Amino acid sequence: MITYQIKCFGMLSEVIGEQIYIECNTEYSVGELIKHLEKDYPKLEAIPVKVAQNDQLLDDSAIVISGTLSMFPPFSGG
Amino acid sequence: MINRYDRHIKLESFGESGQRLLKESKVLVIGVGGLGCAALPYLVSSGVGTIGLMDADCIDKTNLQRQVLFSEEEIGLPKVNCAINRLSKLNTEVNFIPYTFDLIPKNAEEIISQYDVILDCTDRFEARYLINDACVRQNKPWVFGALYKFEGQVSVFNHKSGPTYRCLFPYNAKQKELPSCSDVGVFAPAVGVVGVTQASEALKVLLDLDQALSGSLWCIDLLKMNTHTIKHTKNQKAIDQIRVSNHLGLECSDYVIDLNLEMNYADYRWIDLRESHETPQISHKLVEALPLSSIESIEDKKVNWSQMGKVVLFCASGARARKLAEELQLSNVRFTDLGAEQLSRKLIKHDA
Repeated sequence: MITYQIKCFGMLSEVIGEQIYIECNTEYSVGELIKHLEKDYPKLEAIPVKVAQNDQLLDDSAIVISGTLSMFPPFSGG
Repeated sequence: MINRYDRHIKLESFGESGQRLLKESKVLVIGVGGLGCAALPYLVSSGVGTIGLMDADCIDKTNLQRQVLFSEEEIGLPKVNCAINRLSKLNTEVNFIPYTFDLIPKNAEEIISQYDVILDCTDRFEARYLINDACVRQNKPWVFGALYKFEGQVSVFNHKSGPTYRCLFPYNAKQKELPSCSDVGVFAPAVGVVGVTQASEALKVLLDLDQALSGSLWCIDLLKMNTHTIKHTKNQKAIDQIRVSNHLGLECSDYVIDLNLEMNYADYRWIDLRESHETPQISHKLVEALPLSSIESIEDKKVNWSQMGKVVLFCASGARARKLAEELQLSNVRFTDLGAEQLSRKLIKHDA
């Protein structure tokens, strides 16, 4: 079983929550993980999302390994 | 006599040569709002020789909560002029260059080419893509700073062939829908922390100090007091595209109008293309409603565009206005990317 601990930043923490856990049978790619989350959190579809693991930004096609990851959108305020 | 920069000169990584380098340096601060007000005093006190300040806005009452260079009696006055008045008292050795208009595709490369480092202290995605593209083409490093409520992001882009803004955040149409500070609010000290960090990064880039945030996005949450740094990589294809493209940023259009302080808004007819049910309703003497649905096609003789005099089209986001202006291809018909709400504030400020 794969477990993802997802920490959310910016407005993602309001849409998803500051931290959630997801369990699945196989590892997701970044794109698959976002699609999966969009089912539970439809508002996510309107937000551009970046995913990082071990302090390294991941491409959409990268496989997310079991463990902790962070998700954030670009900020625009100034 | 003790040098005013004594405490910097004593730092091994500065020394007298570093301080001289700062004096010969030119920094452009785009946006004199919250971030600009936080970054500028440190650039000035540190002795950067030439500082350009760019902003077309005037001071609004709601700016005072975080834009700490301005005072109550300056409400309604141009931000750039007020900031220079204040900053020139901090350091008379600095040469200030005012730009009381916005960065647009037409002027971006020419202005940016005159500086060593650019600070993005804006509050819009459109401006950031434009700064990025102009900096890539002119080979200039720039320091990005942005906020969401209590959180901030800072990075240095296009520094020593490092990643650019488009490498980290490729343009995504969803960004247009994200809320701004005026929609959701922003914690004033967070603006200060991010702006001061931008000044720090700019000085590090100028002095070629190690560990500038090139290839790293620094994130801070002032509420939880968490920070983390995310490493990101370069997308050479995205950079090559900027270099060969005929367009800069997202706003690039021959028909976009630059809303600067010098223009007289009464010289234009301001056409609201939104439908009658769209809010906010704008009742301003210069604004005329012409819902897009009432125009059947651009050949529609009901509206004789070429005989209308100088016209500025607008809508909720600028998308419909841009499309119509580009279809019409008339020299007297321009559009603005400002949404109706933002434009309405500008018109009211202009009246005052």
